[in-house]
Amino acid sequence: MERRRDCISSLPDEILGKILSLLPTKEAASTSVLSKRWRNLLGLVDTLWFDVSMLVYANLEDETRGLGGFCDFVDTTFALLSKSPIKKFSCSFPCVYGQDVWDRLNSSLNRWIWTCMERGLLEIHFHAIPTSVFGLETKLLTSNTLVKLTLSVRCVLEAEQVFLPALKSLSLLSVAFEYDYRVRLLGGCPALEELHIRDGDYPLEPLCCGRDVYSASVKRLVIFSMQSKFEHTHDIVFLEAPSLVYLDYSSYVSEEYRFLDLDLLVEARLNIRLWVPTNDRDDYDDDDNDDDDDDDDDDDADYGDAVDDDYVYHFVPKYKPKAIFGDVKNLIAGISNVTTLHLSADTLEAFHFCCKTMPVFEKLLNLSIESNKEKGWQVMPLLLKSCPALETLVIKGLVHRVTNKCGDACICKFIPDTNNNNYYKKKKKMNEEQLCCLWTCQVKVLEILEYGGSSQELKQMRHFLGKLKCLETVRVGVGAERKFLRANVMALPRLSPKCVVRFI
Amino acid sequence: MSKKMIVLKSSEGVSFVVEEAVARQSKIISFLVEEFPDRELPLTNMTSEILRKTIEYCKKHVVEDDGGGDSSSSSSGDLKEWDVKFVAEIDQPRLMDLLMAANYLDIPSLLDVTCQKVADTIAACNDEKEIRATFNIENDFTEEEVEAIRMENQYPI
Repeated sequence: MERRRDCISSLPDEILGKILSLLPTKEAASTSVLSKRWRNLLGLVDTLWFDVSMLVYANLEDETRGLGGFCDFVDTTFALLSKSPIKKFSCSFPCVYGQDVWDRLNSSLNRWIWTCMERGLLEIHFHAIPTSVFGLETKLLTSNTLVKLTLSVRCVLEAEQVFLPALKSLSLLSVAFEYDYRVRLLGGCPALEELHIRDGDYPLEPLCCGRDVYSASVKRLVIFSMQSKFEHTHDIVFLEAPSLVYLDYSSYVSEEYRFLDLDLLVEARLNIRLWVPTNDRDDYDDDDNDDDDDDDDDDDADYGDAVDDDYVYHFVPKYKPKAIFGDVKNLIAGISNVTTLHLSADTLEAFHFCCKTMPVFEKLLNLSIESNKEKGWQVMPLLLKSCPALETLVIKGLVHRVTNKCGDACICKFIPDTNNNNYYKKKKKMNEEQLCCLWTCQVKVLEILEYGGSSQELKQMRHFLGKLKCLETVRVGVGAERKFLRANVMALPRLSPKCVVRFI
Repeated sequence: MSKKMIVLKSSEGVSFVVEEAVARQSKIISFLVEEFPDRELPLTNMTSEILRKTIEYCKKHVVEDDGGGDSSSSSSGDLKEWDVKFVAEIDQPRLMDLLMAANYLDIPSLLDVTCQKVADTIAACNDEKEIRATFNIENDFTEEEVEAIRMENQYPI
């Protein structure tokens, strides 16, 4: 028998205030009609959360009335809160067309934030659609209590000075602050530990906050700057952060990087994307294979249509891929102190095509890479050789684009390819039997995620198990319950006598 | 080194033997253990069912706290997922009991996840009638009073 008692109304006031604080303020306010117990609970909330970003008005008159009513509602709510402290203020504005209503919103916003600040505000989230530019006044940017600030809007900093001595976490999401504002803002946050920058969500906003970051205190930095236009603005990226421990960096490749003072960096997660696809890159144009050029043209014939399109489009008389834009050498050198490194499939290609000399990752213990069937593993042999201390290798997905340069670390060379010269394959194979990067690799733990069990993947597993001599643990992540697939892997010969294979 | 165990007793008198580190996530128990070592702690306002659930939650979360990163203990992302699943499986009356247990025993993280679940449940309701039905709240207002309050809270959109 279902119990039919009203438990929720018997909760203490502070718990109900806590629950209402987790609701958008409008919904929290609407609970006051539930019963007399709920009539005056709104004053107990410590979080104000207003979201009118989805509102669309038919005309200016409606907009003025609608947003005016919203301002009144927020003012009334503030009045209800009496003098209780406000922990968090979150506000999302819609696209505003009318100048008068915009003026009212902007001045109200500054007043609300000011009121919150007086009540010991810890956290601000502010979002607006980037057609409107909101000005943030001085009061917002001097607070001894503010711990977390999230701005997701085109803001103009009207503050002469920024001083947020308690601020630990700052998120700038599609904020079009100009250089001076960014410097002023970061300069005014001496205790900042977490910085999250996101650019590129609005394709017509070329300004990128993530292009130059200087902070003496930041420990965790996340930059997502996937601006697929304006290649020319990706000339140089500066990063100077002597306290940085964790870096998560996603962007299209830049022409140059200055990554300085990252001695404390422990973990880096990179997603560096090239500006052009590399599927049309010839993999035989290696120094020792110059005489192979004719074969390449034959290879190209397989996807002749696509190549022809390129001929027409670029007006290039003979197909020759344009040089790849970008140089990640200084980025890699800057982060080479890490002990844990995560690389996306795009980054593997960026490392291969945009880095002439690979620095040695002396301290790197954990390397994880993601594979993509469109992206090659050409950099893997060099990368593995550059990680002398590597203990754990995690590979998410074994299926990658077949190229003829990654043969060292994987089994690409064994795949029958229509126009490949058998002689080369044999010669290459013999060389690699002697020189294979896996022979010298010290990896103890190998983790393969999203293992699909295709014959190509099984061959790859055989390659790893048969060549990595220090392996102790192999963890294989398989999706569904597939026993036959396990048996195949378990039957593979293992070079390392200590090697244990487990499925996760 | 054997782990120190303590005994928690539910309202039905059922004893639960729990590692001290697990139980100490409750600030109240943590305090009581220090004040009255080697005593079993009677929790007279908690049923066995709710106590079992509370212990299950504490067990899951203690691994994270003293894992020290050496074993493959659950990451904070996994833990969050686990929390969501944990409260999703509980029906509404038991959720309220668990929330009150978290409040009584002073387990802040359990209080957070249970309050969040209640807030989500309220947010998922279409109107106040549905909220009242979901939580068995009796409407002691007159129609006119409801209308007057509603006018106060609405802004035109």
